[in-house]
Amino acid sequence: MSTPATPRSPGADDDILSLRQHLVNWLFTPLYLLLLFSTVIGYIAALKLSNQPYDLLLTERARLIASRFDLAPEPAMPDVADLLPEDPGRLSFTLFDANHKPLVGNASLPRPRPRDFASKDTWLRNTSLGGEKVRVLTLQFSTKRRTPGTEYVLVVAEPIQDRLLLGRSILGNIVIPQFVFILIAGAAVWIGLNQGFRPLEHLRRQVAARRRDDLSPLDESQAPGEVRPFIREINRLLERLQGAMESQRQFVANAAHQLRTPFAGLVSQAELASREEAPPSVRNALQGICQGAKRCGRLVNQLLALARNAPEAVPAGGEPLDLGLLARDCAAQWAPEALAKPLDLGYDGPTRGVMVQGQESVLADLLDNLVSNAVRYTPAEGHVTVSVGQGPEGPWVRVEDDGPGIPPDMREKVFQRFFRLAGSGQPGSGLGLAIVREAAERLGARVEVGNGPGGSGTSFLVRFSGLHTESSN
Amino acid sequence: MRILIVEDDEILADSLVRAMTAAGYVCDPVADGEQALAMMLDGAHDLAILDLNLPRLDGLQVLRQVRAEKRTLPVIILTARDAVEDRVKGLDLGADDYLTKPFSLAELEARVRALLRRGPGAAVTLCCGTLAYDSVGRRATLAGDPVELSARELAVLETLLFRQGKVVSKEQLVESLCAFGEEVSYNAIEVYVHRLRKKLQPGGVDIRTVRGLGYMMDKA
Repeated sequence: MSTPATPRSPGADDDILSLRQHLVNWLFTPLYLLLLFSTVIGYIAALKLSNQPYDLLLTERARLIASRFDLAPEPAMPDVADLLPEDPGRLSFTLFDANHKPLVGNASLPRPRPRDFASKDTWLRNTSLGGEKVRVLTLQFSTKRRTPGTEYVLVVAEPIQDRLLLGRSILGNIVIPQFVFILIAGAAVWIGLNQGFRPLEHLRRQVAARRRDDLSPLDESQAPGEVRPFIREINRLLERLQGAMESQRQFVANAAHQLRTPFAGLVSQAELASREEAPPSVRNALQGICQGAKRCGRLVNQLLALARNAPEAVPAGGEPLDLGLLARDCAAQWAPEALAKPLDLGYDGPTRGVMVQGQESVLADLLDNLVSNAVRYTPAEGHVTVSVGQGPEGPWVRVEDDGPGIPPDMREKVFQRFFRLAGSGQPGSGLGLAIVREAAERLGARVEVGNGPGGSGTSFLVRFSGLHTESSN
Repeated sequence: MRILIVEDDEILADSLVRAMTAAGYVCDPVADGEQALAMMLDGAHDLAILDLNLPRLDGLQVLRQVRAEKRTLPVIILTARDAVEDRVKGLDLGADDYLTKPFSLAELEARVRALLRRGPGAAVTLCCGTLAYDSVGRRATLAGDPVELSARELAVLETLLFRQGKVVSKEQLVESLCAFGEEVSYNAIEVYVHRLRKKLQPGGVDIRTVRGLGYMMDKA
């Protein structure tokens, strides 16, 4: 027999985990932004630094050209070929006189505008020349030997390609270590989070592993100091909740107890009256009263059963119970009603020896409500079978009928309190299967709803966890 | 036969008195625990129907004191409390039977009959349909005519008749035949039931087989 995975509310785990998600988001996002920012800053700084030696060299070359020009006697033009790089495209220059008329050069660079060098004697800028990005130095100087005191302007241009290459290689040298840093930092944060979350994770597991009805306080001894006040508050809340549930249960139990005696009076008086000779109309009325009172009596008993099977009302553990014996007792109790309908009610299984652990009243409530439902909802001439067995995973009891059945989409709903299937045509409180579920939980059993024999009707299979080995000794 | 009825709810007490009176018993109704205790210790009654929730003295206290005085008066407890605990407590204190409210009068009458039958020298005639059975003379009649039954058939009949309208398991029938000092198999039980059924059917008495559970005697 296959065991379906234990159902656990799917949302609960995600909710508990979202705190970690939060922390991860809030730690990683600033961390990455910071690293990104520092990379950009590093790149800008690298570019600036890489510019400096090039600019110095460029200025040096310009000054050399200027001094060579100064040394050459008028009107001869100096030979500067040895000052230029081998590749002529790498450095181009034009010398302008004071009237901004080009005198000499290896390229015709644009004439400088007066305001460009009004205040300083050197001026550097990036510009575009014939589609190529260049660094342009404008040097204003006055000759001392050639024609003392005459102003000249030298414009030198150099492609910035080299600088960009250098900048890129610097960037590469920055980004790769940065990337490694990011990975290391991420791993460190992750490990740190896991370490920090270990007590919380422990707490989460503790909460997640709880039974739905477990309201006992959480263990705060393992929790970090920051979480303890929180746990304490939760424990206080749990305590209050338990108190509230307990008083509600007490109220239901007391109310049901108080109702029993007046009901007993009502039922017995109606029974006495129906024994008297009376006109048919009175007899019918009395019969109605009897039936109504019986139904009320059952409802009162069911309310009591619900209160009795509430988690806080059932002590843990219990005693070894003979499932077969109790199932037979229960079926025998319903037999007169079943035979009167008439229904074929039967038992199938060993007479005794299939043991489960729990409180007898709880198991009796479970069986009674399953059999009662089957007997009441199966139409006349139908069949109801109670069977008990010992499977490889543990003992089980099944109550199946060939009645109207429960549509698959309703099979979860029928366990809700006061839920009733439409069109059953039977009086009922809608509490029976709620009691069954509560009782099953107290017994550590699972209830599976399926089709009855031959695909029609209903089958309720209750599987108990295998405690048979303990109880057999 | 004199029955003490201890119940403080007037309406319920009234119906108990009327039902028991109609069944041929003399009834004394009492509404509080102290009075009930005094009357039970008087020893004038053959049986007491005792409610547990009583003014002045709790029903379980009454029962404890009665048993402490070594009185064997049969007591049926009526309880509105949770059945299991009170049943155990009540039976531990020496109650002979118990009923949880609300109950049917027919059920109560049957329990009273059964308890009084257990008492010394009580002769009871059990009926089902036209069948009448005298538990002392161990004679059965169908519509007044005697029925020929073997000793074992009689034992089975008695067991079924004491619990008519209820399922009697094969185990219980085997137990009822234990007095004969030999092992009786389930198959033998089936044979006895089959014979009984054949003999009783003409008298409007049916022994119904309840699959896997046992037999139930009922009016056809």
